[in-house]
Amino acid sequence: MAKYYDEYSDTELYKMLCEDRRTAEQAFTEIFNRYSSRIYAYCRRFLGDREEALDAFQETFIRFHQSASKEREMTNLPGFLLTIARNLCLNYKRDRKIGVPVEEARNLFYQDNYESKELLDLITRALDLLEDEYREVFILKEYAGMQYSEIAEILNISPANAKTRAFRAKQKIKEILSPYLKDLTRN
Amino acid sequence: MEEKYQIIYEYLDGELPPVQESELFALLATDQEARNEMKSALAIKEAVRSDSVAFVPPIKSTNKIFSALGFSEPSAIAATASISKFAALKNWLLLQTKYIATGISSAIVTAAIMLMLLPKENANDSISNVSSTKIYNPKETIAQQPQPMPEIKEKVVYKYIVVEQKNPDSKSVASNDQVIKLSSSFPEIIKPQNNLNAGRAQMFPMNINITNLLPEEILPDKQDSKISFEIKGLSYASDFEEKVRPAEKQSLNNSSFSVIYDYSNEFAFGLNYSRENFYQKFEGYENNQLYQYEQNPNFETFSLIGRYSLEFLKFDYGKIYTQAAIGGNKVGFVGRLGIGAEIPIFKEHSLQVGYDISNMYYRHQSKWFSSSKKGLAFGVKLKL
Repeated sequence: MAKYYDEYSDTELYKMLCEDRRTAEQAFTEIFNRYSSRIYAYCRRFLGDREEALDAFQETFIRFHQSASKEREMTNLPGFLLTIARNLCLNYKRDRKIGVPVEEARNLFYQDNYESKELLDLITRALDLLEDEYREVFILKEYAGMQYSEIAEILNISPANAKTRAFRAKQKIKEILSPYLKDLTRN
Repeated sequence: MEEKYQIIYEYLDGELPPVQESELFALLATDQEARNEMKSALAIKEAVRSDSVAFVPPIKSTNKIFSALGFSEPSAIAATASISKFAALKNWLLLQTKYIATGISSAIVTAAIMLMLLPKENANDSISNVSSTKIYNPKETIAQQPQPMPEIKEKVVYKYIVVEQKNPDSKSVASNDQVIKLSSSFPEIIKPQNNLNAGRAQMFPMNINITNLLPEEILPDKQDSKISFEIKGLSYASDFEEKVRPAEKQSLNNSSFSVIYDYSNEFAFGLNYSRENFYQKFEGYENNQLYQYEQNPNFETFSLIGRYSLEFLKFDYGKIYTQAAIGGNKVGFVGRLGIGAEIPIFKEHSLQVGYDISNMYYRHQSKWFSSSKKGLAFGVKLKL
């Protein structure tokens, strides 16, 4: 009995990418439906800049499709996609002009009237102030919904290290948001 | 923030070992700072979850990817939430497979028997063309071609089931008109004659007292019977503004037939077969062009019914029941919720009237759509 595409596993869908055009298209669409929001969230929050994030997002899926190979046994498709996205994002960051120093940005952040902003705006701005190693762990955990073991695999670090980084990232975000969060916990 | 609060974050991440949970709860119970930490962490987590800007890639960007790969552009990107919702529904249905399979196979057998009693000429035309609108079966990727309008018959032929009377002197329709006299439990269908009035009382469904018409030897013992047969007409309104008139290629459309088993005074189960319309509005791509389809085809829906009658809502003159049904037709799943009243009219037979909300879920090109309608169902319940 024929199955719908959303009933196939990631591994099966990946193999279908190498089949006839129609099957490949349907399989790619299903993979895209499953993981596009995670990949976009990663690019968007890791790079901060919308245009760069869009470019990285598009390129991720195009490269992913081009990499399809019958020989490759795909065991962790979201991890594979995020690895492509991460490499692209790092390239974008490397090629960027040097922006505002972190301390200056932090001051700019506090000059704003934080009370008038939504917590989410503050978090996204706080993310921009984090070092890459903390920011990406936070994004992979909170936005891409990955386990520490999966994050460790993508970043090529130990799970314990991934956990520590995630904790420190949250500590740093909390420090940056402390005036807002103090109000929140008082209420 | 101190390291001791790390267990709060591990707990919220779902990665705290169960053995450490008591440690966390003890900490929260005694430490105000820990509770504040928990509140802050939850607020951050919730805020991230609501970050729709980050989670929804612009459609323009999606289209660029598909164009670059030479694929046709998808109609929309399924939201993560809706995927998980349907995945949950699918998992639940899988768990219920054996029960549903039993129900559906029984329903098919029942429906097959009933179909033998019905006119057969249009029985397979469950999706038909109406007006000049193109009709699609959403389950099929290749669109069906428009079909020619069916020829309108000049003369409408009505068919009745007539059963022979025990008294041969009685002037029944059957005896007067020399039509086939029925003495078996499987009534034949015959054409009526002009002088129907004399035998009106012996005709089905004009007279619901069918037990008087059937030979006594084939009737089960009424005292022990828990099985009943329901015939209903359906009057529904779609939730969409209907721009295409309903297809008319199905005889006895908007009617439903059920076999109900009274499990207890409160619970009843049954199988239902309905001939009905669902107004469908859905999207799809053909040759890189997005189309919005609208059609109003006929469906044959089979479903499993569960019915619950509240004890305190039973009266001398009837009872109120709630009903849920789940089933399917050739394009998707159908679910119904309803409330109804049962009013006895003769012995154990009763009139029924109910209000139903029906939803049909179906998909086209990997995307799910739904059609819903609500309305009245009215008919008779005949205890066998």
